[in-house]
Amino acid sequence: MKIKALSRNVEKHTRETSGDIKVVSRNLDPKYKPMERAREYTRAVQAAKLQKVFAKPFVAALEGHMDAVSCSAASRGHLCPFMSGGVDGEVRVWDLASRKAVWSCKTAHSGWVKGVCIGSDGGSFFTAGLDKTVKQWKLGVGEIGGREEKKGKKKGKVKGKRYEDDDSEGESSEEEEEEEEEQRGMKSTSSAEAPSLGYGNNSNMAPAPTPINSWLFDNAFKSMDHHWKEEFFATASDESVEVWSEHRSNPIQSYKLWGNDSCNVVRYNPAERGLLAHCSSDRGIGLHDTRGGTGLKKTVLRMRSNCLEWNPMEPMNFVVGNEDHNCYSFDMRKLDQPTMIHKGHVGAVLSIGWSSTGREFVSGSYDRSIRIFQSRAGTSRDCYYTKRMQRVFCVNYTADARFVISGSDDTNLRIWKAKSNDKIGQTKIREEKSMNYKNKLLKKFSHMPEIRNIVKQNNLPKFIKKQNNMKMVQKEGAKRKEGNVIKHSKKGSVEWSKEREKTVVRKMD
Amino acid sequence: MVEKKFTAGAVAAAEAEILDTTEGGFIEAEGEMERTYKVKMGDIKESVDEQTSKQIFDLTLTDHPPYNVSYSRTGRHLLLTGRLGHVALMDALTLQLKTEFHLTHSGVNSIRSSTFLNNHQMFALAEKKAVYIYDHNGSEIHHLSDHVDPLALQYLPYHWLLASVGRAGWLKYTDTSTGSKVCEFRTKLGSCGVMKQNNYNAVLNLGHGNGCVTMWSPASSSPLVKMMCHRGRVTALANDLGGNYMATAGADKKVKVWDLRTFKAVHEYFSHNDVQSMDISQTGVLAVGAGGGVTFWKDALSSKQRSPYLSHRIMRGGRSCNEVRFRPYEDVVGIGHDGGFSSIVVPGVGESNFDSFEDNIYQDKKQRQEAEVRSLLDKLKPEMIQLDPEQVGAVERDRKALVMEQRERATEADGNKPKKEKKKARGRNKISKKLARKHKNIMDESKVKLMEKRKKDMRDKGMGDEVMTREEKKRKKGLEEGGALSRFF
Repeated sequence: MKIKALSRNVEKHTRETSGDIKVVSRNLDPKYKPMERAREYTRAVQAAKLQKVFAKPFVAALEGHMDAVSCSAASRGHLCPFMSGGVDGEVRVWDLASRKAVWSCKTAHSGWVKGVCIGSDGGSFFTAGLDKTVKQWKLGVGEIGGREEKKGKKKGKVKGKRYEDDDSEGESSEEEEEEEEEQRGMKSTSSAEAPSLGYGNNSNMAPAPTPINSWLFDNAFKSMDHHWKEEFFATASDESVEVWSEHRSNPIQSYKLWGNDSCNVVRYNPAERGLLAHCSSDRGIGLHDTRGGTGLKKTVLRMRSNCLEWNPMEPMNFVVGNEDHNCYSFDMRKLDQPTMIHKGHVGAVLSIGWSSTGREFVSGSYDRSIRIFQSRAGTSRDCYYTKRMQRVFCVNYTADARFVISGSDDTNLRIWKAKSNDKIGQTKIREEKSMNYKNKLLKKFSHMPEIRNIVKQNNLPKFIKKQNNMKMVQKEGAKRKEGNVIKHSKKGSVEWSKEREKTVVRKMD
Repeated sequence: MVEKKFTAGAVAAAEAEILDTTEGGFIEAEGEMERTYKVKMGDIKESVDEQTSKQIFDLTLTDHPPYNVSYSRTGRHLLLTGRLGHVALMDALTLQLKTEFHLTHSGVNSIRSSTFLNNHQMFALAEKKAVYIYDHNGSEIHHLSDHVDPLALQYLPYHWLLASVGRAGWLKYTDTSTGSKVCEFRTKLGSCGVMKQNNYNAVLNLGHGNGCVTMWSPASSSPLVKMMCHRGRVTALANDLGGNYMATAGADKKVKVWDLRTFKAVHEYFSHNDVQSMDISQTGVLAVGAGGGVTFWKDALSSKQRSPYLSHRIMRGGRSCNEVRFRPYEDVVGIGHDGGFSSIVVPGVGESNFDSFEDNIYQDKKQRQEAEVRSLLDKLKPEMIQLDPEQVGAVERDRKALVMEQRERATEADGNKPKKEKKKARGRNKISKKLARKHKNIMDESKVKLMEKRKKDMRDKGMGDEVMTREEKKRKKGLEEGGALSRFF
């Protein structure tokens, strides 16, 4: 008879000294993990609650403008520089890592700054104002955020700086650096690196900086955008859209639009070489090709669009922010109806900014809030507001898609996290693992009502809530009326109208 | 697609076997004539290592018998409770006595059942008056006066629920993390002293005096399942860890193994004595404590066995077994009986590989504290207890179809009982009439003869073709009248 009993060596399962790591043994048989699904569900509920507990989206406010911030632009190739223009004609450049203004010009324009954009080389930026001028300014990228110029001219020479390896290779390295910089946060500010025109010392300000170039025109500018790769920029003025070369003093092309209406937004397509999209005051959205010299397509919505942005990753798609509180996603190949209506705001949408991933965009509204939408979702993922934030005129994503910057009527720029519960700073490996696990669980049980309700829960200010309720009543009333019309008409003669079909009033080719 | 998944799962399971570093125990017969059940405890003691052989011992405790046994979830601690009020908490690994005390409550001290709570730091005793909770030092910390006259106790570790059932037949759940009563249900089946939890789904199985086994969840005030298991009182009950099988023993001297997926008895065994206690080990060995002996049955759940794997007689003849319990993660069995407590070694009953994140048998103080907090964070809601635990967080099926299916299963389980006949009036309720109705459709010999005779008579009268059954007539009539489909016939 063979007899053997189970016998364990205690030393094998316990650590020798208290300094050792604890001995772990595993048995993956599911019968020793009863009710695993219920336990996972409980953890998912917890994760959803924790997500809400840690939802602290506000990072910082950038103070300095003396009047409302009217427009802003993030650098396309770098993470730290950020440009903003005010209603009083002031232009400022901010270092996002240190959250300070590193450059400012009080008298950049004598009136509203209506457009700011970065040049295609990243070394300069352009501003356009109501004073009928466009100005080009040097952007000291090397000095902002304590890094060198993008082209790497000084590479290897400056030993004392933190980032000697240039990041021109790709996005991933940039993101890492940005994270590190954010972790350093306020501490990284080194006044020595910032130019003398720093934030706050107005009295010590050197004489007003001079632009590299300036262009004068007959009409006031409403908007401007620079070509993504080439040295052209486009402006929208009262009667026409102009295309300029950086090296010519006069516009190289000027288009009268359909019906000679004034144009308020103009944007270059990120991929197609000469494709421009514009919004005009006759409620239209138009496309035209600078090479052809004529308009391609135009569609007229029920109300005027205030802003337009191309999706940077899917360049055939763009989103417009409309006066009727909605954002509309369009496919440029099919302007008959929007591909999606993004609802949520209770005021006119004034500005839109795309995340560099092309999956999400942020919208700023006259209702004093900003909302983050997923590109294919009808309702917003999140809504940010503060008591002090007034009407939002401009919103942007940072290039790493982790932060959102909003400029508003209360003269402040605000930095928000793109994901409200994101952790800023270094995460330990265990922390990261736990977060990944929680995210996975949330995804797994996202269909459950309990979890969905927690995730969806968003406390809104009284004003927005009231407006929302009012809109709901109006919507129900309209629906009831339409229902009654259908009920009392001959069968089949009247049908329910489709929301997306109603959006476009007229289409022109 | 599904087959692919199964294959991938099987491969992953095979790969995970590399984690199983400890080998389990066994008894193997070498010749054809050898039988494992002939092995005596003395033989085992001689052939196993010294550390294991220390686990074979007897404690003679004759002042407060009989004794109940319970092990903590990790198997590290052992709780002995004598019916007449003796409580002893031991470290089962080092065999050191941790706490020992005698009950001093007024009245008759009587401990009916005992269980550890989340870890060995606290345990609950079912006493005559109520359920009491003690800490590991033996101080009484809670008195659950709701649980009146309890006979059996169960602790559901993932829900932090303590359940008791007693002489009045009320099943009561208390949340041990908040101390509040969760729910109480009247079983309506009288006094009940047999209760075991199903580890797979945390459903409580109760064995009743009329031979019924009922399964309960706090989510439902009526039992989830009610099955007739024995002709006579249910004396003992045990669940296997995977949740597929349940073993019941009744006063009809039968031990039955039930498949809980179909709720059907798969095997039946006969026991000469009334079975006092049963338990199923982690590896699926069934222990049956009856009379003065305990028998162990290997693979008795999946197939019918002819002989036990091992049998053990409690020493000092005339002693009868009170409770038999497997110690988790060890080849050790604890037997509480009239003469005290016996610990024996049965090779092959314990799971050899434990999971440190589930039940860490070597956990230190810090780990125990952390595990307690984690367990509290993962505490499941009482309503989550249901027959199929995978249903939590899943999409509900069509309710109507579900109810129909349940009804079908219920009628099937009832064995297609004939319907009870309605009471009828105006002389139609007479026994003769009832019988006639009952036999209306039965074709027996006399009826066949009668019909033949009638046919013959008709033919003799010259109505040969007219001799038709009523249905044939009806059909013919339909054809003649020219129904819509008649031209197809």
